[in-house]
Amino acid sequence: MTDLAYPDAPVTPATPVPRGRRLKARNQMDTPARRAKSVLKHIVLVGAALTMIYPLIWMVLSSFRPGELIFRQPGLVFSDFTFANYEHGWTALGFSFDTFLINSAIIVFGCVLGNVVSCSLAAYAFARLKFSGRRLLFAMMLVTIMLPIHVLIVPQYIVFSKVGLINTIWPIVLPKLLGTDAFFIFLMVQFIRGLPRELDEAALIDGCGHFRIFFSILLPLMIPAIATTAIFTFIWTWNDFFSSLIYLTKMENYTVQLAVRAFMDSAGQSNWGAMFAMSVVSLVPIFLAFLFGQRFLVRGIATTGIK
Amino acid sequence: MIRSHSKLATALMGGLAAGLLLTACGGSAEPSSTTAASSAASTAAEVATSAAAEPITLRFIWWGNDTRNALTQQVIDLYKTTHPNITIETETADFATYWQKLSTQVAGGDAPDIIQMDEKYLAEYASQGALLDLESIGLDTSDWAEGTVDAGRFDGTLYAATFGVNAPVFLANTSVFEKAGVEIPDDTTWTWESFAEMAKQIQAAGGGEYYGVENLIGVDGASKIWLRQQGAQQFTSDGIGFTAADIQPWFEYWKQLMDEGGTAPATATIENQTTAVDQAFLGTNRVAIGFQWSNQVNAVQNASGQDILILRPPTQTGNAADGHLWYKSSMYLSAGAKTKYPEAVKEFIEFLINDPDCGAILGTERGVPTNLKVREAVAPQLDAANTKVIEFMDSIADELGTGGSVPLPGGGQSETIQRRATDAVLLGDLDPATAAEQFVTELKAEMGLS
Amino acid sequence: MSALNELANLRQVSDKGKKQNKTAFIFLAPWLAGLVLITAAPLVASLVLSFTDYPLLKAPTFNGLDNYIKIFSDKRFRKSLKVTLTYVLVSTPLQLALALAIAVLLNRGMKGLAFYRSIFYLPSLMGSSVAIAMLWRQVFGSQGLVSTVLAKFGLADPAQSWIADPKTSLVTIILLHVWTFGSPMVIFLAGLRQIPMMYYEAAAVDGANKWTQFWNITMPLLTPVIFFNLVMQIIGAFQSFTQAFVVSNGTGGPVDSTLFYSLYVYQQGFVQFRMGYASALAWVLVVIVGAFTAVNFFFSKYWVFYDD
Repeated sequence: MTDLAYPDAPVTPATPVPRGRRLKARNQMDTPARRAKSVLKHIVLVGAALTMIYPLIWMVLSSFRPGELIFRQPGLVFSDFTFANYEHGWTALGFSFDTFLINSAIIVFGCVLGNVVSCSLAAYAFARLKFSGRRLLFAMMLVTIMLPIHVLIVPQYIVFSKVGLINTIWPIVLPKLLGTDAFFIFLMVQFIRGLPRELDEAALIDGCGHFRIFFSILLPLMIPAIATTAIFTFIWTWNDFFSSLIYLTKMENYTVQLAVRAFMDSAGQSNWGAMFAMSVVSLVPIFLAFLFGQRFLVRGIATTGIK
Repeated sequence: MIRSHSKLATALMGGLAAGLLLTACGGSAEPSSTTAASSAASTAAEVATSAAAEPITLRFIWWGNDTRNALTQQVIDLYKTTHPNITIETETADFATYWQKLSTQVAGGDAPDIIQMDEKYLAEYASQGALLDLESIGLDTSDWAEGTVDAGRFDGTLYAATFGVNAPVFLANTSVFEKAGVEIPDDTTWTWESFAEMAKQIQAAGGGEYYGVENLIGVDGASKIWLRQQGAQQFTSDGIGFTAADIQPWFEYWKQLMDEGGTAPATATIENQTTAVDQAFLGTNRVAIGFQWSNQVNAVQNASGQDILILRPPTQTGNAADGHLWYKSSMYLSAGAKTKYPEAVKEFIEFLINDPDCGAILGTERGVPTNLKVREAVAPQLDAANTKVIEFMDSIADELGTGGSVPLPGGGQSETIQRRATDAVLLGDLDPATAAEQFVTELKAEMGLS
Repeated sequence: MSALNELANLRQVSDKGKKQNKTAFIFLAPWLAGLVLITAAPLVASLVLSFTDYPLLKAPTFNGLDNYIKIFSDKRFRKSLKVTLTYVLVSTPLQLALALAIAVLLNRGMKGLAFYRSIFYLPSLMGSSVAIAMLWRQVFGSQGLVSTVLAKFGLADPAQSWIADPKTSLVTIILLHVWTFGSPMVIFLAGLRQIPMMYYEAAAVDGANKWTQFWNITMPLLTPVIFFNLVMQIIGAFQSFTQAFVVSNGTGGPVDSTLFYSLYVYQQGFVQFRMGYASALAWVLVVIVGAFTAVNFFFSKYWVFYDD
C-alpha cells in the first residue's frame, strides 16, 4: 500500500469537491488528440456491443419473421416482415399474455421487497454487530447456497404441499421475504464493510441506537448495493423458470417464463415465432428495470460528496 | 452467550426433526403395492357411483405446445357440456421439463388424476406403484386397433391406455431429390445397400449444399428397425433382446456411409441428433431422407415447406414383408394410483380415446386415433398430410413384425447410452465393436440386468 | 497507512467484550426464521436421503454408506467433476477479469455510459431463456457464424459444429458464461461508486497517472467486492446447470464432454430415479465447494482490505 491509496489527510470527512471544478478540469483537457481517442473508444465499444448482442438482434428479427422461415432463413437475412407472431403469441394460450405479465410482476414485487429488507437487515448484523456464533451462522448461510436445487426441490415441495401453498405465490415469495438468499446478504455485508466505520462510530458516541445508525446513516450510503440487490432480484425472479414450473401449475397462475415455454414442445413441433415474440415482450420489463435501476448505481457517496 | 447458543441448538434440532418427519411423510404417502392401490380404487369407485352428481375436480397433466393445449382445452370444454359436475384442471409443460414436474408432484403425494405417459417412463411409474391398473376400473378397449391394448401393459398389467398410434417411417424430401436429379426409389423393394448407394449419389450432387441422408447411428427408433429385421428385439419383457454382435453391424454401416460421403460429417450429425424436428436437417431441406415417427410428418412438412413423402424403411432382402415394422403408442394416458375418483377418471379417458366427437377435434395431433371407430369417423375430415399418414399406416398393416415389449425400468435411458457410444464412433474415438460392447454393458447396468 | 492502523487498533480495544446479541437477534430475525422454516428442513432431508435408496416415486429405504461408496467407483462422477473443475477454473477468472475491465471502462468520464452499460448487460438479461440454445447454435453450430467465417479463410469446414465436438463443446459453454458477465460487472460498478472521489483527486494533485491510480486506489478499495464476486462466482460456477442443460438438451453430451456436476445430479435424481444417490453426490459437492470457499476466505486476509 502506498500513500497514494490512502492519503493521510482525507481519511476523516472533508469538504466535498465542488462538482463544477471537476467538470472544468475535464474541459481543459479536451484537445484534438483526446477527442480522437474518445472517438476510437466509442468505435471499439460499439463494435464490442454489436458482437455481444448479435444473438439478441437475431432473436428480435426472428420474432418478426413468419414462423416457418425462422430456421430456413438463418442469420440476419430478412425478407418478410410480420406482426403475426406477436398477435398469435399474445392470445394463443387461452389467457392473454398480460395475465402472465401481471402474475410475474406481483411475484417480482414481493421478492424485491423481501430481499431488500431482510437481506440488508441480516447484512448489518453480520457486518457490524458482534454476537455469539457469528462465524458459524455466516458459514451456515454460505452452505445453504452450495447445495444443488435438484436435491432440495422434492423435500421443499413436500413442505409447501403439506401446508397447502401449491399454486400460490408463497413458495416463491416467502423465502425471499425471509431473506434466504445468501447471495445478497453476503453482497451487502461486503459493501457495509467497505464503508468507513468512523461514521457509525461517531453516531454511537452521539447516542444513536443501532436502528438509527442502520436506517439514517448506512442505508443512504448503501444505495448502490441496494440498487444492485433490487435489480438482480427483479431480473432473476422474472427470469426464474424452475420454481414456477414446480409450484405454479394452473395456467391462470403462470409466470411469463412458463408462458413463453408453453409454445415449445421439445418432442415435437414448437411455435418458435410466437416463442421469440413473447420472449422479446418478456425482455422489455426487465430491460426497463435495468435502465431505471442502474441510475441508482451512480448515486453513491462518491458523487454526493460524503466521504 | 449461553442463551443464544441454546437458541441456535433449538433451531437446528427443530430443523432436523422437521427434516426427518418430512422424509417420513414423503415416504408414507406412497402406496407401495399395486394391490393396495387397486383395492383403495374399488372402494372409492363405489363411493363415486353412489353419488354420481357430486362435484368432482380432476387434474389432467400433459406435455405439448400451444396447439395441443388449445385442442385439448376444446375437448375438455366439450366434456363439460355433458358432465357439468366435473371440473378438469389442466397442467401442461414442455416434454423436457414435464418429467421433473410430474415426478416432484408424485413424490410429494400430489399426483395428478390423469397423466399423459411416455413409453420411456412407463415402467418407472408402473413398477413404483404410481399408476392405476386400468382394467381393474373396467376401461373399455373393445374397439381399439390390434396391439394397442397390449402396448400399454407392464408386467402383464394395463397401466397405460394408448392415446395415439404411430409408426417408424422414412421421410423423403422431394425438393432435395429434384435438385439432385435422383429418382425417389421404390420403398417396397429397396435394401439398406441400395439406400447407401442412393445417399452417396445425392450427396455428391449436392456439392455441400445438402447431404445424402440423415445419419441414424444414434437414433434408437431406427436401430430398433434394424434389430427386428435381424430377428432380434430391442426390449423384451425380461430385459433386452439383442447382443453387442447384433448392433455392431448397425454402427459399422453408418460409420462407413459417413466416411464414404453419404451423410453429414461427425460433428454436424451429432448436433443434428439433439436438434428439434423443425430445425433439423430434414425440416430445413438439408437431407433427402430422414427417420421420423409418423405423427411428426406434419411438423416436418410445415418446417420444410416442401412436399414430404412417407416411405417404408429399407430392408435386408428388398422385400417389404421383411420390414418387421410395428405400431407404436405415440403417447399414453395413465391414471394416478391415488386418484379419489377412479370411475370419473375412467370415463374421462374413455371420452378422450373412444368418443368420435372428441376425436374429430383432436385429429391426429397426438398420433392416429387408437379406437378404430374414431379413426373411421375422423378420416374423411382430415387434411392431405394426415390422410397420407393414415393411408400409410393402413398399407403396412400386413407387413408388421411381432414381439417386443415396453422397456423395463432404466430402459428409457437406452438412446442416451447408445449416443454416448455412437458419438464416439462417429468421431473416430471408438471402433464399432468396442462401442457396441460398451452400449450393451452400460444399458444392462442401467436396467439392473447382469 | 499508519493513521488508519492506529485507528483500527483503538477501535478493537474499545469494542472488545461487548456482545450485541439482542440487537443482532432482531436484525437477524427474518433470516433466522427463513433458515429454520424454509431452508433447514429440505437441507437436512437431503442429507438424510443421501443415506437411502430413494427411487423418487416410492418411499426411501436406508442403505447406509452405499451411495457414498458407489461414488468412488463411478466413472461418470469423475468425468463430471473434471468437466466442472475445468469450467470453474477457466471461466471464473475470465469472466471476472472481463467484468472488471468493462466496469472500470464504463465507470465515469464518458458519454453514453448508461447506454453501453445496458447493452453489455443485455446478454445477462436473456439468462436461461430457451432461446439461448437456438442462439448458440446460430453462432457455434454447423454452418453457424463461427464456422462460416472461419471457412471463408480456409480455417475450418463450414459443417464443423463446435458445440457437438467434445474437444470444443466445453469451450463454447465457457464462452457462453463469459458472455453473460453483466452481473459481476454491475456489482463492480456499484463497488466503484463507493470509492471516494477525493482519493483520486488527491492522487491527481500528487501527479499520479491513471494507471497508478487504478492499482493504488481502485484495486485496494475494490477488494471486498472483488472477493465477493470471486467467492460467489466460484460457488455459482460449481452449480452451473441451465446453460449446459439447454445447450446439450439435458444430456451433457457429446460423449459427456459437458456433463456438469449439477447436471449429473439432476440426471441421477430425476431421469434415472436415484434421488438417494443424487443427494449423496450433492453433499459431496458441498464438501468440495466448501473447501474452495474456505480456502478463499483463508487467503482473503492477505489481500482484501476492509475499512472496519
